[in-house]
Amino acid sequence: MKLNLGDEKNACIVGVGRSMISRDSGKTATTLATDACVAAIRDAGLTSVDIDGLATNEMGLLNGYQLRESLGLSNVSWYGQMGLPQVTATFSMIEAAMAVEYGASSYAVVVMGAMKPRGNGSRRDPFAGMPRPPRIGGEGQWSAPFGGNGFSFVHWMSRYIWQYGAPRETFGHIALTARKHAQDNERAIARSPLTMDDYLNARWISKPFCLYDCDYPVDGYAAVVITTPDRARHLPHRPVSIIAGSQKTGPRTETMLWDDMSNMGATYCSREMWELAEGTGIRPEDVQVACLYDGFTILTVNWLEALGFINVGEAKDVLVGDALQLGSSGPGPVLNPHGGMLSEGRVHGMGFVAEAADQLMGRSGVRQVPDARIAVVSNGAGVQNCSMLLKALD
Amino acid sequence: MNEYEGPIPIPDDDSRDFWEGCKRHELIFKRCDDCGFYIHLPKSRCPECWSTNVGSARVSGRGTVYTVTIVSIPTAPGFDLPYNVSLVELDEQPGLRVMTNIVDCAEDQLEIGLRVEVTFRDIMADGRLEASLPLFRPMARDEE
Repeated sequence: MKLNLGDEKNACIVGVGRSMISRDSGKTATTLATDACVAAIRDAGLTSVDIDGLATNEMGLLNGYQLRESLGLSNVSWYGQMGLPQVTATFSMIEAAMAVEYGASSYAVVVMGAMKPRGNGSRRDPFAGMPRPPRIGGEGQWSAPFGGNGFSFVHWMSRYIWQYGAPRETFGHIALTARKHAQDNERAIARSPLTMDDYLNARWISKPFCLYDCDYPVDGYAAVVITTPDRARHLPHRPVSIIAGSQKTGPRTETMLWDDMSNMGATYCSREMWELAEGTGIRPEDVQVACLYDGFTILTVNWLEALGFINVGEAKDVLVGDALQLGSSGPGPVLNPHGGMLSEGRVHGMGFVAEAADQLMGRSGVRQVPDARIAVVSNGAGVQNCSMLLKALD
Repeated sequence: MNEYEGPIPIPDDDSRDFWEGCKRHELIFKRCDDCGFYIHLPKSRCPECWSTNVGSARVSGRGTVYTVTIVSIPTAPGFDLPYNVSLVELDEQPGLRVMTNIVDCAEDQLEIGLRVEVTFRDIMADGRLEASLPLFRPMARDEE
């Protein structure tokens, strides 16, 4: 967890950068991550010699030392390289914020993203080249022999539908909202209009997941620069204060056997995040921008409920009409104004951080959420959930 | 049943009792000899009470479908599409779950809450029993 130390001490985001987002960049992960870092450092009005902290993690396919070399950074004295499997961007954000608050780094860069998976196989034979029969140990021995190592989160959706009686349209609303917002995001990979009929008639991936319940794999990276509020006030943009963050996982993180399928581990870290923020008086109804993980639509529904934006089990009543969409007159924050991973593309968590920071800096152009002052960012699901509360400093 | 061409588990020191039990068509879990907790995925120290007195215990093989999905694009080689992947919760302990496939069941009958019992699928290689997979089928009505 990252504690709330108050506006005078909480680390701030001061620069945002992104690589190109594409289906097939023809570039390496390190090249795209370097592009994002350079853009973020320039955006903050800094140069390579200022940067003394660098955080990323394994899921971003990045190695901190390689990145240091490709960026030509000569002053890095703090590295955040998460070794846990499948941790997402906000884990690294919290690490870097604490490093800055402690004084271990003056200006830290956090970079994260993803490459579209590329196997040896083709669409017709996706497992070409794999030895037959494949032999699998470790956690995979409990799922692969049943053909079940692919879409683990679909079990949450099955269970959620059963428990709360949610119709498919509830999840369709998440997909349609992402696509609607992506139409105003020139970086987004999927911008063509999407209707509820399109959603309901889409092909099954793993029932009840249809095509539009799943995020859009791309090559893409994003980065931010973090520093202290003292330094932030001398830089070009409105500082975005990182008030609090939680990575609490809850019980049972083993593959697909989680206890709380209807209330994923997000429940635990959302609760902790709000507890950490208690002294600020900020509550869910004060949040204008919610950048919530949408690797699968069920995960966004779960985050909305876990974070207190919707009562648990009531998403089916709330996610209708233009709820949570830019321009809606209804209650609640604007959900993923950039289109999320469902439509902007799977920049693995860091896209949410970058969008929330841009929104709070007040420079999101046609998709700017009016008077955006408070944002929540969440990443992941199951073992690797993490949420953060952000605030625009005056 | 067609010949199985999917993934074959590699037992390790914690999972060997489970997979050897399956070969004998017995569903066996690690269980704490001190507090009685069934431990799955298997571990050599009880995560509930930290006892190292961990043994094995055979269960009834009866349970309830906890969740189910119908897979339409392959996530492992050797499966005919579509196929179901289910989590079954065993009767012996809340949260004692295994991933499995439900067999001998029409798709419109396959739903959360269905009562099921274990059945085993033998995988032969070169004339010997390579492994046996614990699958589940709907329980006969008079046994429910």
